[in-house]
Amino acid sequence: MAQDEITVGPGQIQFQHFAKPPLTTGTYTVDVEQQADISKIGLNAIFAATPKKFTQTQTFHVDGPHFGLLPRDVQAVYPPANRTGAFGNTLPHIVLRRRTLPWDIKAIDDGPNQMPRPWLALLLFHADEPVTESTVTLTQLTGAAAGPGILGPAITIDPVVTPNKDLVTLRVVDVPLGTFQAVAPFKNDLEFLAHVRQVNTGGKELLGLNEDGWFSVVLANRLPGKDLNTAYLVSLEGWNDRLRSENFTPTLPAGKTHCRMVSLANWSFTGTDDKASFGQLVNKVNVGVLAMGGAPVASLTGQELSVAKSLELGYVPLAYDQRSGERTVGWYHGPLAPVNWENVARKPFPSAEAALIYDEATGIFDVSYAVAWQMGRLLALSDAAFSKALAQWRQQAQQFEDRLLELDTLQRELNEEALFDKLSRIEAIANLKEKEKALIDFLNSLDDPQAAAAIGAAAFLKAASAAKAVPSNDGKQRLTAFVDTPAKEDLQKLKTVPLGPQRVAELSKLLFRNAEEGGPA
Amino acid sequence: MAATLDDLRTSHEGVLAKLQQLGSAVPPTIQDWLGRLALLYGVPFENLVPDVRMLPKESLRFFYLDMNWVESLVDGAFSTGVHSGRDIRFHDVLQSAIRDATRAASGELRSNLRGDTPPGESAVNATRCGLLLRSEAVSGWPGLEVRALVELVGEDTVPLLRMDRPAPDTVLCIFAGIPKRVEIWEPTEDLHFGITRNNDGSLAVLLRNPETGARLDPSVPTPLLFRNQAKGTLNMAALATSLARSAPAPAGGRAFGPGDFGVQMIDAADKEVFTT
Repeated sequence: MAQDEITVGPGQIQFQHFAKPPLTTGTYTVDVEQQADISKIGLNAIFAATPKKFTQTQTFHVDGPHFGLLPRDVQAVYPPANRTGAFGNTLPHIVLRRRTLPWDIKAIDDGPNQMPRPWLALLLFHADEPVTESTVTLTQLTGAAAGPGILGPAITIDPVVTPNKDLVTLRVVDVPLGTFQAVAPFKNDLEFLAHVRQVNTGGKELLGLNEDGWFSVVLANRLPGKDLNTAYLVSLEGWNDRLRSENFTPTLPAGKTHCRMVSLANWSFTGTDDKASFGQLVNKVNVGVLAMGGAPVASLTGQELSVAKSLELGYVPLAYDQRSGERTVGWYHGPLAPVNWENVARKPFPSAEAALIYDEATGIFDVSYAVAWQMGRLLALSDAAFSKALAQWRQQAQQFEDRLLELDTLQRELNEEALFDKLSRIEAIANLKEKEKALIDFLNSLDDPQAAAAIGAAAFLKAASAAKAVPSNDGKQRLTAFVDTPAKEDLQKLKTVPLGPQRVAELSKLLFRNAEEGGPA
Repeated sequence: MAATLDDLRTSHEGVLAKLQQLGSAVPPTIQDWLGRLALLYGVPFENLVPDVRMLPKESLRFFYLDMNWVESLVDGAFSTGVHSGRDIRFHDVLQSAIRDATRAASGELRSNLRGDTPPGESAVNATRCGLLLRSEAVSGWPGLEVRALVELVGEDTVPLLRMDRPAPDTVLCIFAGIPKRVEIWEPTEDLHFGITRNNDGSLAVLLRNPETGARLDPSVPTPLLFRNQAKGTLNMAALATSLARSAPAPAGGRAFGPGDFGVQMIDAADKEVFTT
């Protein structure tokens, strides 16, 4: 029923007293009786005048989770299972996903206030109250088959619903009689131990739930103790006459030592010392900054004052063995400081010694950063994965650096050497036509971007044009002359001009253009 | 190639820039490790709190994170496997990249672990500070929550970068930014049915408004009623009667029932507020 429409706003939770199912479990009989009086419709001339009765009886069973819940029936438990904490001031509870579940079975007589009493009870056992949990068949639940000294619930199993009791297994918990009498809720407590909640979490966790819907909640009637606590959600079916109430103490059958109760869910948790509540504990903590001393006392002077000031800044004096073998005192402060130290930009410390700070006024070392450095080194050394990753990274970076250097040098060399090479070859060709062809071929070869990159096409073209502008054997001079690269389109266009003086003239114009215009030096 | 990074620095700024770009690609393994290191994971507690008198029992201590200390720690970590001046220069050149990566990784460590949205860049670069709480409240309430808030009033939180327990009774938090207000909450998942312990040690239920569920102000404690105090079993029926008598009557003349009882027994998470 958890999927029923929610009628509370987001972030709200509504409590309801109970939710009774339309029918509690049990065997029901439907009697249908129809009386036909045909005199009313004027047919009494044909049929007998006396009214006729038709009856029909139908028996049906409403079954319920008498002997076990499905895992999905339980939404949450508190205190959380297997958790350790100070739970001494809390009442354990279990949240069930079906809102009518605690009232599905009518097991306990209602009280005078008309509130139905749930058939489920959450029993809590402390560490010094051992109970035994076991799996039995339905036959072994109660009666002689349960074993000597075991008091089972006073229930009768309907053979129609459960034809073979040996086939049904269930979890039971055997509670010593004394414990049961001390721990079990009174009958008139029961109605207050279960209620219904309607939750609209609005996406936020509320009361440990982050699911919207209708839930039923069963509370324990007992505060947790220290150490191990075990909570059992038990069925009270068949225990109606054995629960105490305000002015009635039942006499339990003689010779019984344990009560065998059907266990529907159970979990355990550990309670710690709980002398005070959370609020009290936190409220009384001493608040301050992380330092040994506060502001120095006004009367202090000289060395005492300087010591007090250091303490105020979060320093502690530590024995410091110097490298030279001297034993002295060093000031140390940790990373968690009472003051906001200015973050000083500096080169990395290459060693712990480099991180030592010497106070000339007192002659005392501040070892804080040296300790930090040493600690970082130790942590790195103790982590093989990090050391390996760091070494790898460093190696990669250095290989990268090497490649860059190599490439850079190569490029420089190529830019110069290859250029001179080509230029001198071109210049050596006496025939103008051949010279031009060589140049064109060379330019064409630059269509291949890799080749262009390898020899530095731009630089070459600059140099090539500069070479014409400044005909000299001095390569350096040529290189410094700056002429823009002719546009590729222009060169392509030039190729359409037939070889001959015109093309040479065009090419010269192209190469000389910028030089003539006086390109940037 | 006898050239070193120093040569590069003078002659080839472009190469240097490329090399520094490499730093922005600090390998994830190293970045994660540095992130943890910058939040002082693995640093022994006696290095954090060198003298036990700085953090006595039942105390709350605020601190700033000294980034010089953290950077020295990182320097030390990078000192391993150094064979030559070139290795040292490697660290010199990449220092700022490593520093940025360390800050970013430490800023995002917790949110990454939790699958939350990482704090923004301003938070990553904010002054880091934090607190140490040593109290029985820490050992008794393992799910205790700490919220650091930007202003004295309002709900904007300062991102939490690290929260864990260096000792069973001590909790350490590091924030990205300086909070004006810190709230220490009883675990909220533990909103539950509970009882308040009065200062004299007696137990009581603090009454609530039956309609809104808000705690009455000033608080009105109703003594807890036991069937058997030694066993801890409560007299629910009498307690319900007592609560019905002391709590404000439900609206519309409705009779006090189990639902009302549930409302009264709710013990909301306790919180304590500290201002800085």
